[in-house]
Amino acid sequence: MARKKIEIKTRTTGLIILLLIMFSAVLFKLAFVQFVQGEKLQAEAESQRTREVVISAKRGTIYDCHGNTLAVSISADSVYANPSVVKKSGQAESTAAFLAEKLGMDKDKILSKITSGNAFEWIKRKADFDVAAAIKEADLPGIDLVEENQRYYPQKELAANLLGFAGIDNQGLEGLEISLDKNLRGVDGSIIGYFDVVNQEIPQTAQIYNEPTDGYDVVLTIDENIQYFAERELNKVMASELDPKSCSAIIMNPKTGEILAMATRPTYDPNNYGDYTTKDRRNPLVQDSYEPGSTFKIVTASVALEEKTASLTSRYYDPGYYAIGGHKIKCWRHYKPHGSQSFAEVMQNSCNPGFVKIGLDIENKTEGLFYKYIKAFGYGKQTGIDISGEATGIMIAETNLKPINIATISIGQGISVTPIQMVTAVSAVANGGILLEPQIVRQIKNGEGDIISDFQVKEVRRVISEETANTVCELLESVVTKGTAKRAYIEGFRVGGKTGTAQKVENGKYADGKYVASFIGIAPANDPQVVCLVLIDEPKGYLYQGGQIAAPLFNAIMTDVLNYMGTVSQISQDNAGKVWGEQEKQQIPVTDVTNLSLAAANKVLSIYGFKVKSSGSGEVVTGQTPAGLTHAASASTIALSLGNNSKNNGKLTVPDLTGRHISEAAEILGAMGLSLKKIGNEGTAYEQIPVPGSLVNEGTMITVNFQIPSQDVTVLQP
Amino acid sequence: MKLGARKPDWYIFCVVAALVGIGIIMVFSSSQYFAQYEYDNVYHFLKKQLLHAAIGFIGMFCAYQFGYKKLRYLSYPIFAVVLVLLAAVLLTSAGDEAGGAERWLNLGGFRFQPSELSKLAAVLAVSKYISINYRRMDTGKYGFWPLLALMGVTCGLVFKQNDLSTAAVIAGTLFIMMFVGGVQLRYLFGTMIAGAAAVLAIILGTFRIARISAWLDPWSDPQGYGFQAIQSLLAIGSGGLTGVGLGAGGSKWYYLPERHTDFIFSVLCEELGFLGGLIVIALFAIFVWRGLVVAVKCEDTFGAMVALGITTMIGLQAFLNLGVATGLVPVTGITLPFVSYGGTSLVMSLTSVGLLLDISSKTGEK
Repeated sequence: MARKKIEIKTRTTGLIILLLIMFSAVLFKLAFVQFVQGEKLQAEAESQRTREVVISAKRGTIYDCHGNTLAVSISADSVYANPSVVKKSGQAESTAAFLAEKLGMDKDKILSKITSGNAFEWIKRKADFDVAAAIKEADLPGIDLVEENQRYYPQKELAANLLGFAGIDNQGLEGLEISLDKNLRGVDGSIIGYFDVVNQEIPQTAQIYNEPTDGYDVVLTIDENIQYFAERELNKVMASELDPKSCSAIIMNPKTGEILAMATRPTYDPNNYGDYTTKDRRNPLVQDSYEPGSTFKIVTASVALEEKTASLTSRYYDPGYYAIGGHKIKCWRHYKPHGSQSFAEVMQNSCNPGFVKIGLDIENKTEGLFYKYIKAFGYGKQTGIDISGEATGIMIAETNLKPINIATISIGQGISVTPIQMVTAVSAVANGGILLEPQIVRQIKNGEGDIISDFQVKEVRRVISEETANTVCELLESVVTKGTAKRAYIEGFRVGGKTGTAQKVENGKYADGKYVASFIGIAPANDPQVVCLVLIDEPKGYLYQGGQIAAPLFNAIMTDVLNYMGTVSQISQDNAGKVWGEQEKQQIPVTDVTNLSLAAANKVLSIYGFKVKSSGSGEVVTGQTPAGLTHAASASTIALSLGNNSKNNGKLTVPDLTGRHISEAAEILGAMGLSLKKIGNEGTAYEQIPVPGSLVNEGTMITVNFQIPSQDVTVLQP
Repeated sequence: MKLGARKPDWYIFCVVAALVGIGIIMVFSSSQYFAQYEYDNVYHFLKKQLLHAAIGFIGMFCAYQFGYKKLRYLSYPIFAVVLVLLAAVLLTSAGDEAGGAERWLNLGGFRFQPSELSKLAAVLAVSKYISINYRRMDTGKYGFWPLLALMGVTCGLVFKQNDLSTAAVIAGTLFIMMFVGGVQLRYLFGTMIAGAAAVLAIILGTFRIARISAWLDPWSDPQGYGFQAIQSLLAIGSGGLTGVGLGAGGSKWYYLPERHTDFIFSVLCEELGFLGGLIVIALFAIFVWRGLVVAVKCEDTFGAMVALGITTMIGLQAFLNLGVATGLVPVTGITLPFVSYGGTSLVMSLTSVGLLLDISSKTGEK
């Protein structure tokens, strides 16, 4: 018995110790879990139990320089579902049916969304106001609305290609909306709430609210009014018989680098950007490049004067072409060579052989000099303007540069530039020779209106001396008063500028009949306030020269711009220039329309780009001013006198078809009652028999030789 | 009053009362969220547990007044009745086996779990056998084999109800009673080896090895066998030293399964922190210590064995539950005595404590 008792005692004591050790083990494990692993476990538990709902920041507003709204975020209600609540309500079917009807969506699709296993499902982002109100009114279980921001462009197409647009999540997708996204976007906030396993929000738990920071407002350098003037005129061009593929305009303040307008057509409505192709949404003024043609001669002239390889007293002889490296670079007016000209006349006439000589003279002074200046003017690399997708243009690698390339680049061919580069480079000339970085942003402001960053002129470098720059400005003014750009003349203002017509390159070849007509102008010429470049891409019909179509566009835009800006009206240096120019300098051979009917005469002359005014009565043209076989400025008016008695036994005068396309030649001859025998199936008229001015009977066959202009060098237009 | 006159072990009573009190608070805290969601009444489980506790304390008082000595004569009949009840559960749920653990018996509107009853019944039967045969406990024929048979039948029936954990607690308790009661160690070692082999076979057979690897690293199977362990650790780990505050824990939002029963300790550690957990563990340690002291002091072999059995059973079950919650032992479904929600369990535990208190007041008697 005693032994038994002792045994129970000792064995029980051992048991006590064993059990206490076991409990101690639990205690140690507990301490390990709570103190060693605690932090990690707590974080995991927290992330398991919390759900984050993002509150998007309000995207900043984009204003023009006067504070007019160009892009703004307005609030719109988005519909979402909490599927577990929907399922619990047992009304999923009827809820889906109601939503499908209100939102015009597929019922099954909605049903699968509102009964999914997720905590949160969007049904419709940014619903229409009345639809959202109706859904709110219905107060369906598990269906709720949250306020989101919707981007709105109150001016619709205005500056659309510049502004770009923002997507459904307020993210910038194109244009300024993407390049300024970091400023506009702001920082999204969130509500962090606690949820149970089946995604029901826990009542009475603290929600962590992270306030969103609204995006900054951006004030652009764009002036809504100037932008409007430009777009209005572009619309007119698009609707006109020119019916070009596209046209654009860019206006810059040369003294600050501010872009005042940047417009292009075709365009789109950024409020419905999905309805348009990416082609309509591009900003070709920054993203595309083109061969500038004669407008580039401003650069050539500037460099020559700066390097003194040419001076105002230099003289140049134009035999109609310039022979180099086995090629003949013809003048646009090879049929009537300019002959001996001063430097200023070369500029005014936009004479190609003259400029080839000027360009080669620069290169002859120091090899690589011309390219150095071209680069100094900012060509070949991005200007740095704050717009996404800026192109660099294309320049022939300097190591591959041959004299023929220098020759063509002198006249703006064989180099590809962006419109923004072009306007920036000419602005440097207008700004006394100092190149500025073009800028689109004037100010960045926070929600309280405090200025985060303000406009500062960004000087890149001095390219040419002030003296040279002033001389070039004067020369450009003379181009308008005396030269190829008379149509750019604006009554009461001193305007300078240069026309350009470049045949387009397609698949490595100059495309027949596809041109980019352009004009770049400065105003006022003696104190430049604005530089404006206009481009018309692939105009249809007979008019395609910069002087014929781009200069009038420039004129139309700038007349309003200059008046709007209150630029002091100044009489041109040469007050009589406009009238004088029309009489003195002929561009287009005037066809003798004697003995044609008024309708036929009208048609023939309009093909050549003349206007017609008639006097007298009768069935046939008996006389005309200017007379046939003289030259007259394009778009000038030919006065016809009508009578009943034909002259010269009714014989007709053979027109000058040089430079005309086959279709044009056929149309002219057809209108006159003559027939065409063509040699060659492509290109432009090269020679003709009988020669222009010959008197022939109605129905006579005119043999015309058509040729494609040589591929690397073309017949250039002013 | 009679209670005062008899001088029971007040430590035991106070410790148990404290555990029951903590349990009621934690049952309320852990159940309120899903009680609201499923019963539309946050107090659903609180009310029921208060009722269980009230019945339990009445049971404790009755057992204390009834006295353990009279039970000596009722031990075998009680055991026989419980065996019948266990068999009845199996028979009534025979067609319901796919449903999993069927542990309930419904007698005239009164639902209870016979396996909970079987724990005390087995303890009483073994105590009676040892008190009668203590002189020949060191023999195989009269000591070891009959008890092993008793253990086998009880555990087998309980295990058949898919209640491995209760079966394990009963087996462990009876094994310890045999050990202290004087069964030769060589038999016991043999039993241990056989028992370990049986447990291993059960684990490999029924629960598969995945449970073991999920025990060693719950994150290896986070959506499967590791799920409960992970959720328990996430709850405990969130607590830190002082916890997130009573009622403020998030594990109860359906993340932690069995939050008011098997894993109530995890919720407690989340909300009351390490200090709360320490208090609970300490209370169980005090209970075990005082209960075994009663067994040692008891001059009556039957009383000593009953005290030993009750204390050991509650201590083992508490250890298993706490071990599961903290990841110390593999996940198995077992409640924390006095604390977890559950009527039969609480009533039986408190009734057992009534017997223990009665024994403690009569330690000098034979």
